[in-house]
Amino acid sequence: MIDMDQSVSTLNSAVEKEVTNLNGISTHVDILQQNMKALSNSLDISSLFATQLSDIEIILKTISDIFDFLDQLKILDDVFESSSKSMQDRITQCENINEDIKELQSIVSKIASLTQGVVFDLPSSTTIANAQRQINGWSHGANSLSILVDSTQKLVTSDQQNQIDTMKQKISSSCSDLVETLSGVNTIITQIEKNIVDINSSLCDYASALTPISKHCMMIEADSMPKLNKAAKIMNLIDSIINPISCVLVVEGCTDANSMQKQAANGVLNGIKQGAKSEASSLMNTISTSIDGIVENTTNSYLPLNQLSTDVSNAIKILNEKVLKNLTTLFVTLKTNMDDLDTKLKQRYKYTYTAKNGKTLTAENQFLDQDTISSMSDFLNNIKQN
Amino acid sequence: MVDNPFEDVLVQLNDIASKVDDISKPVQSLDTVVVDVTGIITDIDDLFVDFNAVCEIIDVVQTVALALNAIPVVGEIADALGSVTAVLNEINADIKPIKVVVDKVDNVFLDIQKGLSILENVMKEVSTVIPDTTNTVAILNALIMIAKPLVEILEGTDTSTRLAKVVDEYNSIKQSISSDVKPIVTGLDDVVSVIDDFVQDINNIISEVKSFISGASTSVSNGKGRITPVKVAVDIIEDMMKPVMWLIHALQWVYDHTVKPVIDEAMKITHIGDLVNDLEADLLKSLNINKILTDIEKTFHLEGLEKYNNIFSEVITSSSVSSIASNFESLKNEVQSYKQGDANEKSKIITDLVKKLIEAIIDTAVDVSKTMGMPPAPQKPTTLTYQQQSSSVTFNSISSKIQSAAASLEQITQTKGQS
Repeated sequence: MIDMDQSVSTLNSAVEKEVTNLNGISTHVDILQQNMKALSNSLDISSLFATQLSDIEIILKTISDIFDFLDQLKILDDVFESSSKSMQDRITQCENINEDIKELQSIVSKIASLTQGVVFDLPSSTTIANAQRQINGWSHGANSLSILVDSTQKLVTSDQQNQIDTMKQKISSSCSDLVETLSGVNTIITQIEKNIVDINSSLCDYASALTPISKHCMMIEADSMPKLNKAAKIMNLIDSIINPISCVLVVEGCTDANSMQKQAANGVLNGIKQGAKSEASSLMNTISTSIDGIVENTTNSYLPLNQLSTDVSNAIKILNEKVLKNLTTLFVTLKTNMDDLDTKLKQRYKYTYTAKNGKTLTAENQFLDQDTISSMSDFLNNIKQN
Repeated sequence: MVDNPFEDVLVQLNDIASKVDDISKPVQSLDTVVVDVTGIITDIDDLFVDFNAVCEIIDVVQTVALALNAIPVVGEIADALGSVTAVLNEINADIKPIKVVVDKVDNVFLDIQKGLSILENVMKEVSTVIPDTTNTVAILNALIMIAKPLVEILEGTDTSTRLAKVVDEYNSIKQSISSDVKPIVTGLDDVVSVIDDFVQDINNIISEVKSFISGASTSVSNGKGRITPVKVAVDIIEDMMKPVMWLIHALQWVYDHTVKPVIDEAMKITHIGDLVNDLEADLLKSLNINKILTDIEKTFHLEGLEKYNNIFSEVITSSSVSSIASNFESLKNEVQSYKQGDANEKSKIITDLVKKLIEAIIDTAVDVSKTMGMPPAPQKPTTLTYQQQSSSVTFNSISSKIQSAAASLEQITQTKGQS
């Protein structure tokens, strides 16, 4: 006696379990999809940082050039001389960070192309819903065949019972196959879940590594750049006042302390210097405050280059040794698992039938192929002769 | 007699700076408006996505319903599916014009956003160029103030003649800057009044569009909620029917005895009969297409979105704004012409003037050249190679990108431990 009902019932339970399992991973899948979207929105951060840093470098160089220029002229006291040296150190530091950022950008672009390459292979809520529908469909199909056979059994004579048993056997066997398939699906889904959790964790590592960078970007945007710009502008302004006067004094040889012109023109020179100084003195207070912030490199500094440098190195290390390496492996495994799941979920049989309008249609399913249907059709056609 | 030739230009520049201050508030609120417009465009896009989702479900249900039509008529299921198809066709037809209108709205807002950023840029230019110009003029003023006490001492000498030439040249610079400044002063008055009105108008339309979007998206999500169970039910029917479709050509009595119980079971499991009862009225009601269409008409046509857009276009292309833009360009060139380049080029005008000034002093008052003969060969002044910075502009343009990238990173870190 073939217990078709038992097989169908076992399949129903297995289907229910797998649908629940799929529900279980949907949270991770949703987070993965959100994270991938956020990742793609965040990929610019390293190049934006690079832009900021090279802007800063240009501003620092501008200020430094003006320092040097003013220093050489000797028209003012040597107020900028010590600052000029510190400024030069900061510029070197900026150049070094810029080199590191190039490496950071290169790693981030590797992560970008890695993630962009897999984006269509990643499971989404639609993938999960489709898998659930497919699996649920097996249950519905088995149930409808079971109803069909039960209904047919009421119409047949005892001679035809063996034909019914064959049909039941066929359905039972398909159900058992599907239960086995579902067990395979279960294993794959467990692996996929682990893959996704690991990928999400790597994406968190990625974000944590770049978060200090983004904080610096925002600080530079809110604080450093306006202050540096202001400093550069004031320097430009001082330069605009001093430069033309100084050019003339240099041309006239008035800056050489021993020159006779200098001695002769001393009174005039003092007048000019006095004028220039009175214009520049108030500005110099402001600029010295700004410059201290750059060169001191303390916690109160608005351009903490040491911290920037450390954070960039850390980000490079984490992204290179951890994130990029892990993601590369995880994406490959996930792709394999997704392909395996796809294979498992494929309908294994199909048959064609002619619709009422005369069109030939194909029905993919897990139970009946064309031959089985031919023999079952013959059988059902014989029933009417009873 | 040398007076203070740049005083009136400085007064005008200060006047402009104060007007720029007046504009800065509406410009800041324009910033907020730009953000709002961006938000609205995103909302409209989201609404599209929702509409598309509804349309996709409708398409799927229709396709399946048509496929199942191959089954000989066996009562309720065919009726139910037929009814679904009819209602869905009707809704599909209703949604189409909404999509077309929303598409147009989307484009108008994109235009507004584009125009706003042009206007905003002009204002940014104004607030950057004015302080530069003021500084420049202040420098010119400072130089002539240095000369002033010397002129008094030298009165009646040859130096006076030289200084007169210096003053003439200063005056020509003054004329040039002054002619650029005047139209800006008057033009800014127009802009101040127009911007206030414009911001008001745009704010009004945006608040109406916001309320429309929120109403429409609620309707669409209600409709989606109504139609989704129908799709699920039709999916189940399809899955149940697939293994028995081959029986279509069985004799009617076999079909009635064998497939009918399957269909009855499908009806029982899916409640498709209940789901499609009054589907037409329910779905139309929950999608609220009539109201969406009315709201679109009211918000975008009757209230005159076109009118607002026209006002806006007028503002950004009007002669006052364009003259401001072009005069600032001219001012900027004026300022930069002496600020840019190496030390010889840079500040050339002023350098020449100061040189003449000092020559006049040395030649006459101290008479250095007579006692010392020719001065030593001129040394080449130190050359500066830096460029005028434009980093503040770059810096502004990446500001929103930084915010967005930082927010995305923050979003990812917040999922730590959840998955």
